[in-house]
Amino acid sequence: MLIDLLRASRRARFGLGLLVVLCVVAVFAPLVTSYDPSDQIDLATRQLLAPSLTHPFGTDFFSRDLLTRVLHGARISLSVAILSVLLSVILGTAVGLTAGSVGGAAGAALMRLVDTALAVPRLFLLIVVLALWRDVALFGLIAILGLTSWFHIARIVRAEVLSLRAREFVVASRALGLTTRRIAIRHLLPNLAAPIIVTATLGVGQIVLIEAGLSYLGIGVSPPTPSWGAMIAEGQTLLATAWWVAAFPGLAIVLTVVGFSLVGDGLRDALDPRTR
Amino acid sequence: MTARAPLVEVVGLTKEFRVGAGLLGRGQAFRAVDDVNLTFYRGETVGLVGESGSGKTTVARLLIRLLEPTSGTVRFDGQNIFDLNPAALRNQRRRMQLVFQDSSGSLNPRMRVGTAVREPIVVHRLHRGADADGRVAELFEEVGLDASLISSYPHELSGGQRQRVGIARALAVEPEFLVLDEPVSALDVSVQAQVLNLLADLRERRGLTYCFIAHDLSVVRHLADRVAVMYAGRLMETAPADALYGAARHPYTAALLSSIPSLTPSRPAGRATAAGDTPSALHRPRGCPFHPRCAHPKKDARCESDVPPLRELTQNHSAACHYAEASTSDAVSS
Amino acid sequence: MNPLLQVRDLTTTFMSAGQTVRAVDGVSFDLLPGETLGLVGESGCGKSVTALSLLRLLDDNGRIGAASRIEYDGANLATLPEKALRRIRGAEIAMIFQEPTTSLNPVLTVGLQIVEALRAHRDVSRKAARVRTIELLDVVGIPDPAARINAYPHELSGGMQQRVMIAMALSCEPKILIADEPTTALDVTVQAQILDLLAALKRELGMAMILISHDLGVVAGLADRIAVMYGGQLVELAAAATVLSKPQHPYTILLLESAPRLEQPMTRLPVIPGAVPKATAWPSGCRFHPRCPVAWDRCEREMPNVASAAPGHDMRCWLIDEPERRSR
Repeated sequence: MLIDLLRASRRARFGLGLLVVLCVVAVFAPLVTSYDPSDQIDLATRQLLAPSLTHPFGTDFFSRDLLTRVLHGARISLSVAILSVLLSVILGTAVGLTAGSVGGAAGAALMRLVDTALAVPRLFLLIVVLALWRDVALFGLIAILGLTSWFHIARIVRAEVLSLRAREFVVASRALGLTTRRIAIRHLLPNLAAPIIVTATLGVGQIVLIEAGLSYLGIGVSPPTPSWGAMIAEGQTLLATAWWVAAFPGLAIVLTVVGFSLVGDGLRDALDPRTR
Repeated sequence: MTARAPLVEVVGLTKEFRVGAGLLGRGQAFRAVDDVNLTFYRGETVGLVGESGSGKTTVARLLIRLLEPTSGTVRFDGQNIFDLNPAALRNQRRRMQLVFQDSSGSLNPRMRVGTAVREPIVVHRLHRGADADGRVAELFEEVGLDASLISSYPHELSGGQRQRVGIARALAVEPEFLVLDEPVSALDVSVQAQVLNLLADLRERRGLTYCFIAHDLSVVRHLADRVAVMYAGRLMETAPADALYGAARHPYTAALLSSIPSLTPSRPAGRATAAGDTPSALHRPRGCPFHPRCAHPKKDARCESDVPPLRELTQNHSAACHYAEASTSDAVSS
Repeated sequence: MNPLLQVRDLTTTFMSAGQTVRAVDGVSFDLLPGETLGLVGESGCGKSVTALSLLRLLDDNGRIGAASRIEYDGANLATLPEKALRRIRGAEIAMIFQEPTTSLNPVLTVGLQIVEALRAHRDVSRKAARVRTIELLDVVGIPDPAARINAYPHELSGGMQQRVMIAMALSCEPKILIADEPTTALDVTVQAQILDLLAALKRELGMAMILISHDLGVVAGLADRIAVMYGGQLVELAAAATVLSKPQHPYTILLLESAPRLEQPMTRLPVIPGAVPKATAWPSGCRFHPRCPVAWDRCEREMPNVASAAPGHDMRCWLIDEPERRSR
């Protein structure tokens, strides 16, 4: 699948390249720079230095090396995004698969609940929840993000299940006397992999953006843990004098989201004709 | 050929569908299958022939209870399959199976074909583990597939090979009754012959009873002992194969037979073809469903008002036509 | 008589997953005025691609070989500029397809579609075009044409839709009609009607036709000559009666024998062993040799060229050189 993807789309290759760099950098962040992300090196002389050889991304208001902060921020953003998407995929698939397989009134009722939840704007929901739970730890943030993002996936999965059920191999399975449960797990689930993976990949990009937004507003990741969104908030007032404080984290966000979007789109193109 | 008990007996089978049911309305009903009666004796092959809209695919699904009927019964070995509870039904599924037309659609694209054939064996607890694998290899050999294909995915196989996999999967549960829904229609001519021969061999070797569904009368000819012709959900004619092909009684059967393009270049003049189109399910004609297209010289007002019942004309040969005389000596009674 | 259409060495390739696939490989034939040529073969033999190539209707990754010549009216259609080709398409050479439901625009009435076809090639007023459309619908056997002209495609049955397609194709009185599996998607009884219609039109309009089908029976009633294709190549070409009763090529012989026949029921049909090869992996030498009952080593080494087995009877088979190898 990955090979098809790489062969098929130049955009996907580019996106994948970006993401690989990002992941490597995130994993090996401590090795790339010698500084600690919360290390206030020298408030007297190293405050708000422009990008240079010793500080490739410059330093911020607290004389922390920005490159280090951006790299560590990558770890945070990626792990929050990936883990919360994982949670939402598990929940959404379980609900969507059940609702679609069981069908009838029960399935429809389940989906009405999902639809109601979808009607609430996600960002506002998150703001309200996080405002009520101040100082939520990283895992708390991941849990909350995951728990508010699964509705969309449930809908997609259920729609796919309904269309799959009409396909003859599912009818054939019923004719062979297989139980609904077995059909759901052994026949429907493997055929759902493709749309789920595409949705999940695009979802990671979205969550990175949402997390950045929440941190920007001050209710996401709490300082001093580096988060790109929080860094942008810090650098906002300094745009005229020390543009690098906001610019580099911003660029990192853009590259990450673009990377995931390209890979997600590429996956969708690579997987579509095969399903046909 | 006297009091033999049939393996499958279909009586008064009817299936209605509702179309266009919205929030407020109940929609329109149409009968996809209307009062169908069929009998399958053990070892026999009954061909079920019809064009689009005839209801034959719906009959196929009803025969193995993939659909619930509106009314009627299907008795398998005396027991009405629509009366069975879920557990008994699951057991019953072992005895009757369905082979689909579109082999690429009826196989899970993400499952290896060997696994697909193995699954019913394991689910019905016929064999386990290595025994099950051995059984799969046997089945592949029986349907003429090389054992190396066991680990292939459906898209790696040709149409003919996929169809054989479908047959192997149906045979895996050791059924007695096989419903074949247009099993060769999607295949190339050169492959059709292979699969038809395979079906004939399997029938002999395993003593199977077939319901062979097709739209092509020439394909059915090679396997069927008896043929039933459907049109607009109703049975038009049932007869032993030779009688149907040699002396069809129903005007629709005659039209079907003469519509088949002949390979002999000279066309016989005055073919009894059917004018017009097959009626849409929602707008069936009153009376005899075939009457608007019928070219029978005796067609009259009665055809428009009365639905002709399927009545027996001679031994085992029935037709649903007001004017399908038997032999000239019987013409008096009609 | 001068041929209306002369196809020489038509080769069409596609790019698929990085490979070049030769769907049509060196096909040559003539079409005489008023003649019906049947093009038969199983799936993957290249007959539909041949038809699409004649009018250059292939999609983006299909290429017609540089050496291919499609001579019509003094021009080579394979290299004709698009503008000139468009004037020929629909007007002088028309085409009808297998699936009328997808070939007709679902949001336009059938009348509008025929009028559009007419006005694209002829300078007529809308009113005159409408009158002609009603005439055409009548000619193709649509009852109550004046009312049906305002029908949408989905309101018509499959048979009716196909008749509309034929009407559209005939609107500019083409010299050649290419019919690509025109009856495959139709019920048998409707198929018979459409074939009768085509036969009548052939007689009345003196139109030349290329009729493509996988069903020899469909072609049998209409064709004057039949061309059999296998593996992207022409393997036999002769008068219809000859191909059907005295075929020479092993593939044609076996194809006729293995087709289920109404007249001769037999429980065991003769088969052609093996399966049709995929275009990505044509066998070496003669493409049919792995399945041929009389093949010998030459058949695997060398690809036979099309040669004359008898006057008016062409074949691509080494049996022309060594007829004694025939076991029958």
